[in-house]
Order: sequence, then structure tokens, then C-alpha cells
Amino acid sequence: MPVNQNQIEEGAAFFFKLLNEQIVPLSDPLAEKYRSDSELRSVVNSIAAEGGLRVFMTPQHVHLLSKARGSNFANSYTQMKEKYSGLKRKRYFYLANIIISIFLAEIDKESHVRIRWEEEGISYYRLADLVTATITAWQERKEDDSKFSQQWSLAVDQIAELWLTEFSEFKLSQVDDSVDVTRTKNNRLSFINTALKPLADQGLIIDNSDELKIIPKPVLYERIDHLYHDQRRYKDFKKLIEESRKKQEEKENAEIE
Amino acid sequence: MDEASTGLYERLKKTAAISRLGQGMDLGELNDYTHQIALYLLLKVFYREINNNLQRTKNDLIEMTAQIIEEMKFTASNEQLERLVDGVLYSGDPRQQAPFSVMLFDENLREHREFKYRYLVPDREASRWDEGGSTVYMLTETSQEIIFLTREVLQEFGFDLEQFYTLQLIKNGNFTEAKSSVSNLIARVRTLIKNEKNWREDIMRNPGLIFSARQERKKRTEVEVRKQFEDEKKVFNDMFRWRDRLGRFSGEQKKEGELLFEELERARALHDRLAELTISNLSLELEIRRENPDIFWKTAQTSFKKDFWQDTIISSGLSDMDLLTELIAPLFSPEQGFIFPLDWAWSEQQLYTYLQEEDYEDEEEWEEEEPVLKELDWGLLVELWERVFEELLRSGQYPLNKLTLLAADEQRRWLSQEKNLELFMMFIITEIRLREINEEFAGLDERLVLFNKLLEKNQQFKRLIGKKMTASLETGAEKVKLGEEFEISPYILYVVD
Repeated sequence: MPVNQNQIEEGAAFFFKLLNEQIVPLSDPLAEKYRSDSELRSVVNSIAAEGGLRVFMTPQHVHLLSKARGSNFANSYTQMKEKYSGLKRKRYFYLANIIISIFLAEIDKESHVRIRWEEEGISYYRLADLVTATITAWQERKEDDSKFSQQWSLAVDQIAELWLTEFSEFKLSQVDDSVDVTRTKNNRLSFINTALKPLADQGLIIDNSDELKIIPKPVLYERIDHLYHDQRRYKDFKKLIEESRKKQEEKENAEIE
Repeated sequence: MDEASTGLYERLKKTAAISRLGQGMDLGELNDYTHQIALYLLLKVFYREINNNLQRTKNDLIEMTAQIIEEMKFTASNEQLERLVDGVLYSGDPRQQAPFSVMLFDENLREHREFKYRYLVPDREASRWDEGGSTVYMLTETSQEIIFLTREVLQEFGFDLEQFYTLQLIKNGNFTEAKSSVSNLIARVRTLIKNEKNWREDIMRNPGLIFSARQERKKRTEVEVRKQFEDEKKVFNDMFRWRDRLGRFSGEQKKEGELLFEELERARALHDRLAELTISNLSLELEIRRENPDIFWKTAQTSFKKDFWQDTIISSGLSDMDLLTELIAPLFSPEQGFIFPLDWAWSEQQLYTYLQEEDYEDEEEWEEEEPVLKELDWGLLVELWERVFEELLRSGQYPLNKLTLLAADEQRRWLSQEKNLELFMMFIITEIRLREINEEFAGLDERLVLFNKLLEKNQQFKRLIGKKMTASLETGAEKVKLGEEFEISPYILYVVD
């Protein structure tokens, strides 16, 4: 069905609203039009696609998301990547990625066992323990497991060096002897704060640095459900791993020869 | 006496009765579970009591205990069953039939004093000893309290039973007792209202719950729910019928009764609110089912925790750490502030005016003004940009937030040329190699126009010829903001070889 001028205008208006606000509640009149008018929806989705973006809808919100690659837009995450792009700084970025992943894994529960979101918080200390356990387990595994690629093992070593050796556990505030994660550096707890900053900046979590607790917000669950509870996306990711593994092996073999 | 100790003795009576329930008998492997069994037994007796069921003799108690044991998948001999029941009826050696006794601190006397109580006592009226009937047991006030206390926590029984209980008390003219029961009714309906509100939020957030939480939440049709509310309404009406009879009572009791019905009025209003909420939630469920049928098809769901993280990455690693980016990046929304594709930035400006117009739509004075087309003043532009390029020449970089340090009228000069924002954005978005040109032509990159005008004015800029101009984001810095319409991310312009 042809799209009329009005739909284009409203579609564009809604797209820019999304671009501005990232998440728009369905109670918003334009969002409501997006929900009910399929032509308007396709206008918005096409504009987004042109910019390497995706729009998705839940019963409560409309979200605008970046794509893994090919997006014209930066965000708090790409900004972090940028910050740690140097060869030496890269292990910081890797460690941050691992912390984000462990945090996501920890809060990702079957929807029916989730309690109310404000109670799902995780303490900094627990997260730090999980990171330590994960890294240590990988280090032990690579000793006797050929499945781990050389690349991966190298990266894990670098991260382990950073997390286990270079970082102290936490640092106290100079003012009042409390644990200070926002103003201290080079310690595990403050790096958790840094690593999760992209999530906090986007309003997906509440990072309570006084109580040393991180609380996922419902919008984060909406994204997790949409992105990772999807068979197709999982298969795509597996494929990506396979391809990359093959390339890596070829490279390693070539080096041997 | 301080506040903390106020009512301590009364509280201790309740916690002692709870903590000692079913304790102190030797039942071998069942020892750890006697408390649970005993509480369950009290509940069973209580339900029979309020339903006027007279099957509450010792033999009935033993039979109920046998049911509980079976339900909990334990086994017990007849002796053990009997010992259990005795242990709820009496303290110590059953042959003594002694009441339970405990020394509790009385904050008023400032000393310990004995508190004696039982969990079950004979229901004299129901026992019909005269006709040779065996003893029918009923709960004491103490054990009723245990049930009320735990009911608050566990929401042990439904609204309808609470209502029924209240009605019985009203019928007996026990208004004082009935009033506290109405308080429970109100507390209960409040909890139910809160539950409905939470449920609404939950299914909005996660429609899959309609499917997955079905077992926890009684699955009822709207007709059933409506009928239940009608029934409950009827019980309220029954209760209110007793209001007319208040006249028969006198003095204190009449006053109690009036207070009771005031409370009951509140309970009824809350109940109506609950009914409203529940019905609207049911239609919401229906709507979600209708509009998002896909959520009920999805059966083979994956999860981040199990599939992506534990089974894939934790167990076999990745060939390349950078793959983690592929995993995480799609979680994030684009942020407009960081990169401004030129034409989209203008669209935003247009949207802005479009929204503004809508705001003023109702005002009669609103007149559409033709935007004044500003003349491009290259003289001024060159003068302004000269500072920027001098800085680039000197230190190789120019942080945009320097603009905010400029004096107010200098800022106004920057703002007077719309071109400035555009030029900045062009520098930010793409790199450009600075070069000398022989002549201007339409479509020539305006940055080069600017650079060449600067060259004309100041020979020292020749040192920049052949260098590349690029930009990077200054992390952690504030956005650069001049006036209302000039807003840009905190970039630093660089020259590199």
C-alpha cells in the first residue's frame, strides 16, 4: 500500500524522537501510531535501517538500537571502545566486555522466576568474585584444553594480569574511608563501575555506587529478552564464532608452516 | 521504660507460641519436620472450625496428621502419629495433659513470669458430652493468633474466607473481634490490589508471563472472576444487613458496632477498586494475547546466561576476544550527541520547529514568521576561524569547548553565522587534507574555501598545507553549547601529517 505524505512526516518525526530519546513509552501518541499503523512503522524502520539502526517494540516501549557493526552512530559503548583502542589499552576493553557479560548472565533469568526488578540488584563484591572465578577458571582450563584458541588464551592472560595482579581489590575514599568506586582508579571495584558505565549512561541500569549495588532496569530486560532469547540470533552468533575460528586456525597453521 | 520494650511481654507470648509449636518430642527422623506438621494441623482444624465442620475429635486429628504425613511424603507409625497429636495438645508427658508453659520477661514487672497456654482446647458446645460424644477440639486464641500472624505473611487464605469469618463474628455480635477481622480484610484487599498492580506491570513488561505464570496464578475466565466478585459483594451486603439491628444493642457495644460498619464501608470501597483492577487486567491479558500471538509460539527460547555465556563462551572461549563486541554492542542505542550526520542534524532542527508550532497551535496571537535568511559573511567567518587555525598551528589541536570560554559578544559573533555549526560538523564527520586551490567553483568543499581565504589573509597558514584535519571526541567533557541553537559534542580538532 502506498505511504502518504502524512505518514512520512509522522514517521520521520517519530524516528527523530527515538534518536533523541532512545526509548519512547508506548503511551506517547507518536509511538502509539507506530504501533498501530503498519505503513508508518515501515517508514520508521526503513529510516533506521539506512542509518544502521534497528527499532523494536515491547508492550511498554519502543527502542532504537545500534547494530553490532555498520552503524553510523556512536554511543556510550563505542565511546568506551574508542577510549581503549590502543594496543596496550585493549585488555581494559576486553575486561570491561567480560564484566558486562558476566553481569548480563547473572541477571538473565527465566522471565517467570524473576522477582520485581527493584529487587534484582547485584553487589559489586559479588560481581568482582564472579569475574575472578571466571578468569581463574579459564586460566586453569587452557592448560589442558586444546579447544581454547591461542588468541583467546593470550587475551585471557592479559586480562588476568590486569585483574588479578595489577588491580588492587578496592580503594577507600580520601574523605571518609568508604569504598570509593567513582573517584579511585586501578582497582577491581572501580573498574566495575567503569565497565558498566555504558549501561548506566543509557539508563539501562541503576549504578548505586554508595551501596555498591547494580540494579537492572526493566528496559534492560526488554533488550535482553529481545536480543538474546532469540534462537536465530544465537545461531548467527555461533556461525560467526565458527567462521572466526576457521580463519584463526588457518592463520595459526600458516605460521607453523 | 523505653519504646523498644513496650509490649514486649505480649509479643514474646506470640513468638514463644510459634517457636515452640510441635517442638520437644522425640519422633526420630521426623524431628526436623514436627513444626511444619503441627502448623499444618492447626490450619486444617481452623478451616473445619470456620466451616462448622465438627470432625475435630482426637481421632480426626490423628487422621488429618496422617494425611499431612502422606502429603509431605513421609511415613509414620500409628504411635508416631498419636505422639504428634499429643505433642500439639499437651506439653511434656501426654499422660499429664499439661498446658504449655514458658517463662517470659514482663517489661512492666521487670522480671520473668510464667505464661501458660494451649494450642487446642475442647469446643464445649460442639462436643456434646451429655450425649456421650467425644471431645471436639478447637483453636485457642493463641493458636488463632499464630494463624492470623502467618496468614498476614503467607496470605494463607482467600478473601472470601476472611469475609466469611467476619460475618460469623458479626452474627455473634462480637463487634470488637469483628473489627480487627475487618482490618485484616482491608489489609488483605490492599495486598490483592498491590498484586494486581504488580501483575499488570509484569505482563506489560514481559507478556510471556501470561503463559509461563499460568500455574501460579489461578487461570480464571472473566465470567468466573465476575461471579466471584458478585459473591463477595453479596457477603458484604449480608454483613451490612446487620447494621439495621444495631439499634437493639446499647451503649458501648452499639458504638463498637457503628465503628465496625464504618471500617466495613472502607473495606467495601477497596473491594470495588480491586474488582475494577482485576477485570481490567483480564482484558489486558486478552488484548496482549490477541496482539502479540508470537510470544506464545516461541518455544525454543535461548538465553544469554545459558546459551550465549555458559555453554558457548565460558566452555570453549572464543577464537577472538573482539567477538564479544558483536555480542554486546547491539544492546546499545545510538546517541545522537556524538556524531551528527549533517542532513539529519538539520532534520532535527526542522522537527524542533514542527513541535514548537504544535505547542503554540492554540494561541491566537501565533503568527508564522518567515525565518530571516542570514547573509553569509565570509569576512567575519575568516576573522573568527583565524583564531582556530592559529591554535592549530601552535599546538596542533583545537578543543571545541574553548568556544564556551569566549566572551559573550564574541560568542554572539560566532552564532551570527549559521555556517559555523555546519563547518564544525563537516570537520568532525570527515577528514580533509588542507590544500591550496586556484579557483573557487560550485560544489567545492566549503572547508577548503575557508582555508584558502585564510591563506590569503595570513601567509603563515601555508605551513598547514598538505596536513590532514581530523577530530576525536574528548571523553568525559561536557557538550559544547552556545546559545540555543549551537550544540555540539566535545570534539577536538587535530592536524596530522
